[in-house]
Amino acid sequence: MSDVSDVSGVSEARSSPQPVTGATDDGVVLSVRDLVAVFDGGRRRPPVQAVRSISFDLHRGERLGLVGESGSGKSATALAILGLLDPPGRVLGGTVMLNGRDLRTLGDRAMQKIRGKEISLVYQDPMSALDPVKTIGYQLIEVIRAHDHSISRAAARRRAAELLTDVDVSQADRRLDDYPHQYSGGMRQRVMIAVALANNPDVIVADEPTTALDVTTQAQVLSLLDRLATDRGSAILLITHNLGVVAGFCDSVRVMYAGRLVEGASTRALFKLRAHPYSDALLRSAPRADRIISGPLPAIPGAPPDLAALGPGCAFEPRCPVGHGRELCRTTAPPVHTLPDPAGGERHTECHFAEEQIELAAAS
Amino acid sequence: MLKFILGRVGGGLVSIIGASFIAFVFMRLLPGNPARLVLGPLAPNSAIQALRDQMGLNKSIPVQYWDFIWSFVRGHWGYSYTAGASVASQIGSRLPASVEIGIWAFLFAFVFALFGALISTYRRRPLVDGFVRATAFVGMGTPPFWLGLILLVVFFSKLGWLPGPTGRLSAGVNPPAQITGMYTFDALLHGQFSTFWNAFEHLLLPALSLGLGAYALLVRLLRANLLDVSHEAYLLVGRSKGLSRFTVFRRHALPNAFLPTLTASGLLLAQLLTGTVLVEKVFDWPGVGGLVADSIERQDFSVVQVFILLSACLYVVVNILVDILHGVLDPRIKLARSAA
Amino acid sequence: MTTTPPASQDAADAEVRPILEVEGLTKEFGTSSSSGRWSLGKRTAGPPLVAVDDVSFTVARGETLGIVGESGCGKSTLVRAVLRLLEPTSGTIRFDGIDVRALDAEQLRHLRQRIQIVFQDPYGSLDPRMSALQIVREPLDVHAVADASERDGRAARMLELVGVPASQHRRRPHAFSGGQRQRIGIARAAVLNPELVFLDEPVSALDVSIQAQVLNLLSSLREELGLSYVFIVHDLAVAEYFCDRVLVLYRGAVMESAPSKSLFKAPLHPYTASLLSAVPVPDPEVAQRRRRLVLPGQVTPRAAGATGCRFRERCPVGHGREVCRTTDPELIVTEVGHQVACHFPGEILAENRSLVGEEA
Repeated sequence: MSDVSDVSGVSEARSSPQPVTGATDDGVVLSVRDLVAVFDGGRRRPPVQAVRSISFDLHRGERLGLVGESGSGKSATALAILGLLDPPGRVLGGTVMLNGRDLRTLGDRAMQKIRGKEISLVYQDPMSALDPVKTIGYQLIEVIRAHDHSISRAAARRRAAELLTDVDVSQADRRLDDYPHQYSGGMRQRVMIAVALANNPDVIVADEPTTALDVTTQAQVLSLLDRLATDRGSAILLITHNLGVVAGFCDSVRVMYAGRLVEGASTRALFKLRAHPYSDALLRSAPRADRIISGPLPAIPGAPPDLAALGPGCAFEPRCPVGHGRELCRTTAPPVHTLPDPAGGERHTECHFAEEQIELAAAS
Repeated sequence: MLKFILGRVGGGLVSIIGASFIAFVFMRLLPGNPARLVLGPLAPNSAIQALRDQMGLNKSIPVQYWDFIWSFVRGHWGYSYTAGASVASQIGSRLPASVEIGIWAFLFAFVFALFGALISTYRRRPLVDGFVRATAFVGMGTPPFWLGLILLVVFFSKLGWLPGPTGRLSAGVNPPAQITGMYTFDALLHGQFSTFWNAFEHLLLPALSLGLGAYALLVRLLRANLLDVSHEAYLLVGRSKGLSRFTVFRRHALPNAFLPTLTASGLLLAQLLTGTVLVEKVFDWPGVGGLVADSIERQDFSVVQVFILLSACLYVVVNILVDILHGVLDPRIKLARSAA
Repeated sequence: MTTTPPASQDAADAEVRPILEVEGLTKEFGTSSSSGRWSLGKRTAGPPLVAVDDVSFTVARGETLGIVGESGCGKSTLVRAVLRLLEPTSGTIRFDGIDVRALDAEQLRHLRQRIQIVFQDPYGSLDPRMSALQIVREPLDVHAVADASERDGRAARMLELVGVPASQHRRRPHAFSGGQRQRIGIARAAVLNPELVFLDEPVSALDVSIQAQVLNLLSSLREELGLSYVFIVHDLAVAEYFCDRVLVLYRGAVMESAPSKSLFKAPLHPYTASLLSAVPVPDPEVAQRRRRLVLPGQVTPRAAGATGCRFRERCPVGHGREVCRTTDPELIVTEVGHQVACHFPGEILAENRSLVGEEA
């Protein structure tokens, strides 16, 4: 099953990211405003508030990283945008503007025309994302023909082979007739990317696309995604928990905690300075390959909150190095502070003590 | 592939030999003297011995066993002394009737199970799901013969919609020319639709009675498999491609849910084909089940032995066919072998 | 560092003796020598392969050894072979001087009190029908340690030590989060006071913030109980942070073995270098500056009887070079404690100055 197509290539990481945060309104391809989603808990149980009014803009060709841990609501956000959030999940409100149209007002029929064509999904687990009893070719051709009813079988097959070659699968024509179990995890993920890119979408939602992969495969897949998306001018909403991936891949970042976007900035700005205690603590708590840390890791104490039992105050307060125990943080939802972003436009943070946090972060 | 089939056949043979031991030993363990039963209580011992000799009952056990196996393989199924006819002709004349209701019972069970599982899982409506599951419980708990009686009382005695236990066809209706021996299929093959309908009416109630238990099992299995599959990521991915919920369900959920049901279906079919005794009694259906029941009563070894062996062969054949079908349909199995 | 007294001989000797010595460990699947008895018609599908190929390493008392590699490199098989959960094909394993392969079933069971393992999956490795207390108590029951009346107390203390408060001891696994379950798994491993603990990707399935907590816990347990660890991990950053020495495995064999600091500052093997360069670094400027060595293809187990260096097809240094094609490189010592299996060690660094960042 080895796919040694050529000698190791040396590829450069992406050159300087574009300044994009909230720059201008033109070129906004996806605009989410006040999105709210819950998971119903069943009889006598309160609903889980997975997405608590989030807003962000994605510009044409931009790479936006949505960072969060499990329980942050990031996957629910992705599904809600695509209109694929099924019961017990429900979208309660907000708008999702794609190319000027509010996806939330469209029925499933209309959404079917958009999914896979204007906006597509790269799912996180390559091992379960493909139907095991259908060939790879079938699953590629399926997305092509779903949006082009007039294309002939032969032409669709040719196009599928092209796509496979684009994602660096050698002997593409022969491999169209293989089944998923004959492909490795990395190759399957590349097929997923091919499926997502088949119809040159404007937006690709990639939900933890490399989490299940080895580190070298991860590098391959990210490099591939980057190249192909750039060629097609697609914007990417990359959902991940790995800040390293964000640093190397994304132009801008949104940090999600307990259903809210607690911080948003350009990548450069965020990594230089975190304006929210959670983002800061998250970054500091992970071991890094480029720095030698000694002594215990500055871990964030406690665990993520129960989203079915959230209080009126800041959800991060019990674990927050800055706000823990403070009356204001416990009782009142934090306001949004905006600051200028050195990369252009603005950055924002939701914290009562943003200035304090910034000072602390700058000092260390 | 060939190796696979040969391996399966080999395993099947072992099963059949095991079944033959059981058939043989079991019948020999029954108390009583078959020769006496035939000749009556007044016959002299010498006549009994002579008949026993003729029956081969005085030979040593291993020799009897060998005779038994060897004759079976050659199709010499022996002679039924109590019935006065060869076993082969007895079984032969009655087998198609049993196979016929077995097949129809399976068809009913399968179609209803598929329908039930689909409505239960396509959209999650607790009421519908609850209803389907209730029917499954009823099916599991209801003895087929009891159901048969109830159906007869309702549809025959009270409503008169369907014929009673009067055999396979109404008086005055001629059976179609024999191809398979199964009236419904033969009638269809000959294009005789009124005959087909008549035969169908007669087998409807017995087939339903027989099929309910199989339905219960199949519907629960299919429903469980569909539920499992409905959580699979590839369904979500399918919808993200822009396919409708129904298309995704039809193309990706159903085939995957169906595969694990295949093996169980095969076993059920074999069971339905061979396990028809009580239902046949209730409906006075001229099948093999009734024959076997009577033969046990009469201690007629020859018929019972042959029937057990035949059933074993049938199970083995059905299992092999199902395995092969599974290997053909599931790419993971087929290719894993050919890659080795 | 405290040490628990070993079972055999001289106390002085014991202090110096490594707690684990593995030499020439090999595990093959599907070859005639690997299937013990003839099993009716069953052979392993596929060609014979060598999952673990002549691996040797030692673990000193109190040391943490990291075993790093991607999926398919054989690290899980290696651990199972060392613990004799799989029988090795050849090689020697010495735990505190005791020949592990020579032990019978009873002795092996006894030995398992001194060596424990924590698994990767916090969801699958705990019996869902037992309470946390019962789970941690079970090893004490199995090995009949202490009086029955004392065992609950010991289990409870261990649970508290790992951060599970008394009020939660009676709860079942499903009521706990992933991080907490992993803590229970660790408590279970530690309750017997083992000397050596194998950790098979203990934090890979956990969120970043919980990973840090669990790593800190493992660290403090190491101090308090005088444990030695063998830590299997695919995340190099974690390996570098947590381990004293690191072994890099590729297709069943050791490519490089060194103290973790030197390994990450200056990896001599091209595979180690490429692994390191592939690890995402949370700093956009570093990410931009680095040249990434993106390797094509993926890892497959090595067929028995193959020749030459097992990394050559993907190697930027050795691809096409004669000696790499014909000869399997031996492990050579380049400096104290640093071994590499490469014909051209260090060459990769010359070409890629900016592979890794600077020291903090």
